[in-house]
Amino acid sequence: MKDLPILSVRGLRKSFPIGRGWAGQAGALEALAGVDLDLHPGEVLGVVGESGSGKTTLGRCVLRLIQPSGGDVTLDGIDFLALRGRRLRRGRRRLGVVFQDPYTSLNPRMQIGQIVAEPLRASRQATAGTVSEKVVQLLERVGIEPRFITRYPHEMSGGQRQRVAIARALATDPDILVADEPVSALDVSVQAQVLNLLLDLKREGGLAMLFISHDLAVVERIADRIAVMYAGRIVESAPTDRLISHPLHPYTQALLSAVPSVDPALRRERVRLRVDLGHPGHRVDGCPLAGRCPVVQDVCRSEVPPLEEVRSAHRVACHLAKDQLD
Amino acid sequence: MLLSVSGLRTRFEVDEGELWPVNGVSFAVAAGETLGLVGESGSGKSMVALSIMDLVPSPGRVVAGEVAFEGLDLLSLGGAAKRRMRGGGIGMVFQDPAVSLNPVYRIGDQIADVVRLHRGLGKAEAWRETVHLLGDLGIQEPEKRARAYPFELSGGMRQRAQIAVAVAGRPKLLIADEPTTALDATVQAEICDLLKYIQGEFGMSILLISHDLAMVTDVADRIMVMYAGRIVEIGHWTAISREPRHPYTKGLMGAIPHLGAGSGRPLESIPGSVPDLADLPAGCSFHPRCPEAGDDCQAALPRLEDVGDRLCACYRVGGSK
Amino acid sequence: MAPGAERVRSVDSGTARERIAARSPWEVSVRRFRANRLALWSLYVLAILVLAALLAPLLAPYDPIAIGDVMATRFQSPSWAHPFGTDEFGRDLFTRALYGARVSLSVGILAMLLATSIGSLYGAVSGYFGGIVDGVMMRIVDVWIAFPAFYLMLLLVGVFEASVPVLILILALTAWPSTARFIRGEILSLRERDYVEAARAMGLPAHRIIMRHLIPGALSPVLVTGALAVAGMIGAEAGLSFLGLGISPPTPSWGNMVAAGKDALASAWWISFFPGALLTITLIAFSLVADGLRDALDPKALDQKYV
Repeated sequence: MKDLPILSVRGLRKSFPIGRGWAGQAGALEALAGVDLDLHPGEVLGVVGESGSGKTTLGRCVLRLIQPSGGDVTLDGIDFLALRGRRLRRGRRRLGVVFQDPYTSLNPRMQIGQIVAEPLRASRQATAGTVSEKVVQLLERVGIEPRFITRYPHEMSGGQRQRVAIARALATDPDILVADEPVSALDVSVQAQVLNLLLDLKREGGLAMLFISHDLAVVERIADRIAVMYAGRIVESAPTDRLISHPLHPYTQALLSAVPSVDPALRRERVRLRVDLGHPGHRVDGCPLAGRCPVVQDVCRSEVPPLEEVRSAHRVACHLAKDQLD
Repeated sequence: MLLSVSGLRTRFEVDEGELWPVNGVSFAVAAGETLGLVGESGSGKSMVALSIMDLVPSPGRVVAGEVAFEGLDLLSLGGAAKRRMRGGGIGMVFQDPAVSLNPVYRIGDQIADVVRLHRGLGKAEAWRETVHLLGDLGIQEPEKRARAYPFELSGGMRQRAQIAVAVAGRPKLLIADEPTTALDATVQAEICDLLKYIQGEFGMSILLISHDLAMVTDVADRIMVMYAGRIVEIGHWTAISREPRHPYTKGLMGAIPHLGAGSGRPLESIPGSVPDLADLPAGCSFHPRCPEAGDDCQAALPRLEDVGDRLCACYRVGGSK
Repeated sequence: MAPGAERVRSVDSGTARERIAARSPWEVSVRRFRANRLALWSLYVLAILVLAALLAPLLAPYDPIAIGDVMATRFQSPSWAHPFGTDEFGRDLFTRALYGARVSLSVGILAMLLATSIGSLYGAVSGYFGGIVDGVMMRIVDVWIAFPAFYLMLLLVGVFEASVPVLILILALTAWPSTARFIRGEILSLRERDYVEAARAMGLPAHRIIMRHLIPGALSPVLVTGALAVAGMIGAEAGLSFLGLGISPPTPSWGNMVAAGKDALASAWWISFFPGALLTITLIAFSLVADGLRDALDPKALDQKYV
């Protein structure tokens, strides 16, 4: 039985005003064009997209690092966007964040112990005496030995720094971890270590994750459900195994076919997208993929396809999706 | 052999001592073949390319070895001959085209410059060649695009432009250092196709350097794996990818998430991390992290040996001790 | 440098690093600074000058202002009794140079400290809050900078009597806006760093973010600009005093000492020469120290040393 979502996003929009483009237009860059999603307790939702898809903006809006232009973000029933002051700070503690670059996500002038302790001290969740205990616990949970407490970030490797970032994110015992490309900047072997860590944390229970990444193979490993984004919209979302084996949206199909595989037997028939000569981010009528879609029809150019559930838990935003169901 | 590298060693002298990002590297590239060079950061793979091209930044220096290109010893070339080689004999493509294309010149001009310099054509002819080349490399409306500046192009097109600059002089060898790393997945696939096309159409050899083993498997004929400045395994791509034998290669293959493996299964990870080049372990550099390590591994460095279907530097893999 | 070339050294927790005790970024910077011979020696030279200035009453063999038997002692060229010679009033110039150091250095350093404190705080607040606050604050700075500094100084000096404290105030008032603008720029870029965003995401209050995350990051450029600013201040004071607008005789400052000897360059060259040389050495030393600081504090130095 599904419990109520811990995070609910409805109609989230974000526009960035830009000056006159070199073509002479003054306009706005629509980074998010109306995103709906739900995240349930203990669930990992993978958000996949290429550059310009809006996935990073989505993460930042959910974290309220940037102010959305419209829409709602509901955190465990509370209207997160409406919170102010102390209540906002309390709300923020329920979210943990891990960024992509381990070399800039830790303050280089603070020791590891101080970095992990900071959210604890700020939230006054632990008394002065128990802070150091909790820091040791957190570090051990992510696989960092306690002797590193007095070290500085530059004395540790990228993988270790990322673990510290995860420990910091977990310090306030959040309900949701927002991870924006958490392993993309790491070497392959280290990437595997950190992914396994995240898998362990997920299994230990309770932690929901919004896992944002451009790498489908990585996301497949960790996510229960995957949402594919293109041009500021979710174009398809489904349980992981379902999305990988039966993608319905042409963009998802193209993305999957572009992933190189070591085993030729696993290689897919390439779905090619045509080159788009238009300007990204400018509002277009109809489906945002229309300029590049290999199976585009007239209706695609005039009407935006809504994100609809075509099968249990499988939603697609494509006029032609129904034709593809087997 | 088009390119023959033997015993290449590059040294960096730094505060903490000496680093050897290229520590006795030997390999060869045949005409018309694509050789993939795979390694993580700290393996020295990029430094191999820079050493071959004599572009090693200070405080580094190539201190030993031979690099023979079409019989010519590259390391002992004088200034003018070296310049002719770059672009004329060997072309190079880097990771980030935003950085390696000159932002104040149109891409057409940059390509035409190379054509005029290395193929001796006049201005008008060079421009025609340029437009033709851009079209050949998959850029739509090449006449228009040739007049564009790099900032006006998308990432994928910039990379194509950079490749155009590199091959405009009809070099026999193209060195591509992480050519797809900064690109989106769909664009990456296109660039891979482009590299395969170039190899076929121009009969070019390619030295493809990347950390992305899967991508290299897709494009390369043979693959060599580097660790801590040394080659640990070289073989045909089917051999390396289907049946990796060196423990490091095996670890890498296990650590790569393959699409279709399903959700929730942990990856095989290699414990520890890549060693500091200033402080390498004794004997085999990989032994502290190796699940198959024995006493012999710490005692002496295993040499790269022919074990039948490939070359491998490991005491646990065939050959003699 | 070839783009795309990877980091040669992978930063590892292992062996090599562990043997070196935990080093904070400040300690790394100190070490780098000390490795820079030129900067280090410049620092020593400055230290000697500052020390000499502080200890002037103890070191000075004569009184800097008192005038004794003028006819017997005036215009003596440098000798053991008077290493820098004597001026037209028979005063020992070495003594006056020592006391002049007090004036010149204190004006320069204190004015810099004042300008930097005001400028940094102003710039930090403006940069952090952004929006309208930033807009208004920076327009004020723009207007201020639009006044030619020199004429502003002349104006203020004309209105107020130029004593050391007044001069410090005047110099600081003309210099703080550029520091403010510079620091604001640094803060703006620091604000986008991931670790600052993480601090915001976890709900840290603004004052903590500014004090703990932004200002320590901005301190490095502040130190560098500060070192350069001292040189500027000392030069400005010297210039004003040379023109007779700054510190007026009989109180010695290097500037007015150079002025005093300008008409006698051919005959009594030592009157202008020594204070002039001291000024030059001091200014060069501060510049070299500033350069050394800039190299030592370079944040890239922590991670990516080669390639």
